[in-house]
Amino acid sequence: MFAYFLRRLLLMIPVILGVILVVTATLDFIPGDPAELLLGQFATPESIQTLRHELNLDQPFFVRYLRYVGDLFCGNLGQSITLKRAVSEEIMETLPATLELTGVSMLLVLVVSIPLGTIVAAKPNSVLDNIVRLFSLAGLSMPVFWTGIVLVLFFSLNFRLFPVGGYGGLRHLFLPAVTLASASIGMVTRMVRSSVMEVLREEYITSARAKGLKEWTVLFKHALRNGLIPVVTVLGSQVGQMMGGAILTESVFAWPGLGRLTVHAIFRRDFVLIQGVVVVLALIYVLVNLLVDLSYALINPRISYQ
Amino acid sequence: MSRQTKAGNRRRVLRRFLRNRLAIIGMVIVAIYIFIAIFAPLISPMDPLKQNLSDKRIPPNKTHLLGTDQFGRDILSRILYGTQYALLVSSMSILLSIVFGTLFGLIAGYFGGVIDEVIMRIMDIFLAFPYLLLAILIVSALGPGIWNTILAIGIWGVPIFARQTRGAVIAIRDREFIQAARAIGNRAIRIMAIHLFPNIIPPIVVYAALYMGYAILMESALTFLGLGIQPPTPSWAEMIASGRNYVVVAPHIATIPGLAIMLATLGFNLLGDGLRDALDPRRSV
Amino acid sequence: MTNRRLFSCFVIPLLVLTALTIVCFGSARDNTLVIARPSDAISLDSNQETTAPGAWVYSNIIEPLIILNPDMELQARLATSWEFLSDTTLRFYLRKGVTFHDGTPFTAEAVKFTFDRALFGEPRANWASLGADPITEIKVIDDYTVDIITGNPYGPILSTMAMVYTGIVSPAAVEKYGDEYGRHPVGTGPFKFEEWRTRDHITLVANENYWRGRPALDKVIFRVIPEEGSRMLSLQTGEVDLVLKPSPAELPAFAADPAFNIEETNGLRIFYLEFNLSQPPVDDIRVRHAIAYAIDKASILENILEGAASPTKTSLLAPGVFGFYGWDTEEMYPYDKQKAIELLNKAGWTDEDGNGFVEKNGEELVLSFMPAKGRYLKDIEIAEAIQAQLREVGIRVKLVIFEWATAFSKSRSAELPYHLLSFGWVTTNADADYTLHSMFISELTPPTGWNSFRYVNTEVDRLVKLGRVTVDQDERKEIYARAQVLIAVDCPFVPIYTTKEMAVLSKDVQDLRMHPVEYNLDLYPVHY
Repeated sequence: MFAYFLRRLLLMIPVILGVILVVTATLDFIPGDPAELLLGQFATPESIQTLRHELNLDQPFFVRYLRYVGDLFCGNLGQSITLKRAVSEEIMETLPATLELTGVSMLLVLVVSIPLGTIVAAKPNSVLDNIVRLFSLAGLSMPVFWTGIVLVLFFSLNFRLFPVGGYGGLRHLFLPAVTLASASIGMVTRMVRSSVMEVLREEYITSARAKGLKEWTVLFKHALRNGLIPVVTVLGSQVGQMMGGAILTESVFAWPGLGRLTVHAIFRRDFVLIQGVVVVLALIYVLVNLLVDLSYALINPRISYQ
Repeated sequence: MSRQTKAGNRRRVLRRFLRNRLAIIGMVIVAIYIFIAIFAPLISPMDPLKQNLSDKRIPPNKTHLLGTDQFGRDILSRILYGTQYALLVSSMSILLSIVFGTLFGLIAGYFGGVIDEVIMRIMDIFLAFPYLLLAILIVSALGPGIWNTILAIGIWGVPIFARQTRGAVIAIRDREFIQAARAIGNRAIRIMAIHLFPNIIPPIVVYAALYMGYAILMESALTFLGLGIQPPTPSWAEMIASGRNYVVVAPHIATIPGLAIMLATLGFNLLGDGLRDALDPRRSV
Repeated sequence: MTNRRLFSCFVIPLLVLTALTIVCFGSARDNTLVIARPSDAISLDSNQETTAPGAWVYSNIIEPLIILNPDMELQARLATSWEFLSDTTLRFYLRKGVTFHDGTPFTAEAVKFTFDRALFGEPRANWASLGADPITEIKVIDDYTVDIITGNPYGPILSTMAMVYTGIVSPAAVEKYGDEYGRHPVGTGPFKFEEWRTRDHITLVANENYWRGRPALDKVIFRVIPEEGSRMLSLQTGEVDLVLKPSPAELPAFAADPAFNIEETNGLRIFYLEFNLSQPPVDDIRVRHAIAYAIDKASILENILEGAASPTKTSLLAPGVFGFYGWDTEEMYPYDKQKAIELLNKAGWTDEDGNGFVEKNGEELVLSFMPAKGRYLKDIEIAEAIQAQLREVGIRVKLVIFEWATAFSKSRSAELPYHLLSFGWVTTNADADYTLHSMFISELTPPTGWNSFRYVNTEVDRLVKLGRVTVDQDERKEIYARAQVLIAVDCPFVPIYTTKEMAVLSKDVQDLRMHPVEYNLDLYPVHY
């Protein structure tokens, strides 16, 4: 088990290094001189030189790359050019808000998808099943930013139930969380359904039923437990989806999280900030996937060694 | 595999597909969208770029079936023309993903060993980027525009198709007919092209349909964030983004294009689902 | 049966959760003013940010020596009186007993510190080139007397000293915070800075020891709500009390609603289409005139601005500015598609291949347009409308859109590869020199100056430079009138609208007066 964990962890490292490589390399593809672009009105030959030096643009690619990795190790993600603050500071300030949003969304997804998917798996092609399948498909076909706008239209404008946006308590969190969750609920429900259906076909389920166990126990204790593996996998990938979705949702609801910071960085062409955000998010995502891998071993001890 | 069995298989697949009502619906929707994209200039009632400021924000009525936007432009015409842009970008992106993804997958799956490891590690690196972030990185570096968007979304799809292809290749590479071909001394490329490739087409087609949906959503997301095409080219997501300002006085401007996106994505998803079920009925999602 | 039980087991908690969230209601009013505006400040240091998102906030934190009130009259602030000792020396007598928010006393030293930092520091303040260049020295005479010395006689010196940017900062605070001062501003104003959550809100609290007496409000929160629809929505739901930059489309509804008031005044900002004369074929005056005739300004005012802005005169100075001279833009360049096409033909641009766009020597007329976006009212919509209107006369316009700060930064660079830009310019000190000098002097192109048109006219140069050193105000008026006539004919820009400084507020908010100069948002007299 420990060896499995260690192996997974070690495999993570080249991936992260690769991500940083890609991110650093994109700087080379920017048409024009990034330093000049960023300085705009303050671009004199001296100031361009200074900024190029600060951004390590005057160094060969590998030196720049290694410097970035080294800095990253010490927690230094560089200085945001447009905000004049450390990137790590900006990220630390905004990350909690995004974690709040994604956390609650994920919770909503779990609370809705898992029970729902399990129930309809037991009754395939029933009315309920068809309704759920339709809604799931519709849900994952809706662009998440549009869902947010429509929800605001109904609940904030028409019914005055929720605020239009901004940061705050539960009331402010509700609509953005529902919006973000809506993109994933469809996908996860479908996954739960198909996974549980597969498991239900197994023999030990028939024997469990024959033994006289209640349907509830059969469904949730046996079928779901064994069918969780593909579900956990899809949850892992949905975390990635949510990170992207958070950027859009935070935009619609003016939620001051990492997503808004990313949008700001994009518009301002603040590459140092973009790099930092992408690296941090990729890191988190890789960690999440690592946890997903590990959880396989926990869920089903039979699967753990390769 | 004998010719007759192949034909028999194909007929069976087709029958399964045609029995699936949702799959038919998906196919019809996609066909309609493709038709619209091709014939937009002919069926569009008005010029999508013509502004008529005094006719601004008219809700749907007899002259303008879907109403007008904040510039007095006919929304129906813009939605029809927007189909061209949406389908063009998503299909070109998927094409890019397929071309490079299958190539890498074939090579990795066939040769195995170190080559496989290296290629799959590289694919892992690209898969480590959460949804949209790789595309955002690429488009903000290269600048907004149709080709950069296609590149960004295409690159995102490469590892996915690579994985699929590799899986399919591994499943059959040790089969007898491949061994036989090897024994005869056929070059790897010949084997890949003639023997492997036809067998991996089915899963690729399925995933192409499914990922068209994703590509459409990704393109919308990028455009909504301002990383897509510039005005005045009609684009559904851009209509939503600019229509937001008027959501209180004229909600139709922002809401209708979203339906266009949703329906297109739904169509491709249903089609992809149907294809997948037809090819492998044991998996029913 | 089991299914129903299962269902109710998770549906009911969900419903309860939803109900609870709805019931948890929000803010009590408690003497706090919540303001919604489109974008966040970049810095609260007036040296670094000269635009509204920051100025709205810091105009309540720092104070200049003198100000222009909403009627455009000079009023004392941190100075009690002033006199001209000579043509080049202006003496201010300062108010005694004023302290900064951090407790340190306000003295002449602080004035010298502020101006030295802005005009001679590294880097210079953004506003240094906006009318403060002639100032050569600040001399401390005693603790409460300070002299402002200019190299040559400088007509607009008083109005320059009244700009919100010249607000006096606490030297102790600048020492303490160094580079971070922009996030911890300290002044003598009616409100103190409390906190700033980036891209979300800035909070100010009342200055108990304010020298004019404590303000009526306890707290002011400046929120960021980028979409105009959302801003109006949050006003309606009561989440905010005041909206800056309201949505023109919704103004009629709010005007008719007794729960809300609209405060407005004629502004001094002109929004215009700018020509970059260094980029052919825009350097051809016939092409510029053609474009001026091709733009349907009345339609833009009626359908895009919907009454939230006013028509323009031919000058970049608004009629309220000292030295203004111009006549109705509609008179000089009326909307006339035919005339526009004729002018283009005369300039050699004709549609030979009948595709709807004009060419010359086989090359189509394609203009690149880098508009402002998200800064001025309806800026990007107007850009799209202009694109469509120019299309009608055969000119292809390619929009190159950047978010405001990037566009602004690019427009201030030495290299500017675009034909058209759009911009909004306000004559902050309400004196003609401010605008004419910075924008139309040939050698003052970016990044040093603001002549992004790259406009070259030696007669205008001569006139404007003369106007600056002339002390007789009537003479100055005449000089500037002549310059503005020349500029209007040369047409380096097409004015589109004059702003109305407007706010929509809940009816409970009393005594807010909008100032013609956008940046001056005076919250001191406001109360419920």
